Amino acid sequence: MERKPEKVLILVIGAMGSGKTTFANYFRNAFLQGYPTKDLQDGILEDRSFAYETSLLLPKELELVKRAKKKGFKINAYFLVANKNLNVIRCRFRSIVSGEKFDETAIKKNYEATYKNIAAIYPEIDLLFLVRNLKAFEFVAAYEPGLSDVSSFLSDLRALKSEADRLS
Amino acid sequence: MKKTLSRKVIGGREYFYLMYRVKGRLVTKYLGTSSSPAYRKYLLKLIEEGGNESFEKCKRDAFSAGVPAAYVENGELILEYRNGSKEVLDGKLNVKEVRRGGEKA
Repeated sequence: MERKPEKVLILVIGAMGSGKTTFANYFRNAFLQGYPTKDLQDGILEDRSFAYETSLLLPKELELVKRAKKKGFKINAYFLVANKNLNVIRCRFRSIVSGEKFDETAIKKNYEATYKNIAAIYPEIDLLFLVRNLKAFEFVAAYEPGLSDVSSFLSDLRALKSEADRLS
Repeated sequence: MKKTLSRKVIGGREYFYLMYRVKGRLVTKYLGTSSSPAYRKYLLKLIEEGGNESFEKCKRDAFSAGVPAAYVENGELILEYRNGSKEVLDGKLNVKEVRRGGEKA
């Protein structure tokens, strides 16, 4: 009997400029298991494993993640923690290189929203890694939301964010 | 030694291989599926190493694109240029210090 392959949704989550695309490209065959990056809605409809990068700014994304879970996707997530000013600089350089729009006000305004909105999808995630990206990618902690309470994760996340945002 | 992880799909199943050169000769090491101990051991090693190679690659990509590499080290926001000089920025993204060869210029 042919084994039915497990469907996996790999989320790469982080504020704008935190290094999501760099992470996804560098670890494509490792932590992303070779799965392609797709639009969230399209990927769920195709019903096959895929990766999705997000800053969790759109309410629709939160609903789609819940829908993916209901459809039987196993959800692994990598949450990137960086530094607000570093994120601004990265976005600025990206706009210089690619010509894409650079809006410093929007980047700073939306920075907190990513950290706030992760709590809403935490229960849907099967395995969540906290990854610090101030220089190199550092895997700081891992969580199994089915086994650990969201409050301990949020406490760790706040501490990590506070430390990362502190500049001398 | 640079090792490249590649993925092949055979008969609907995914298999991972590690490829690297030994004395110029290409070596392929079979890791198995995503649930195999060898593949998981490789991921753990990546986690422990902390992606240092990723930083070197980011630097190379930034320099190729003509922009400096940006990072935070020891609580300082740094722009590193291709010629090795570094600018240290303050909280308002103004340059507060320039370093050449590790020394304050």
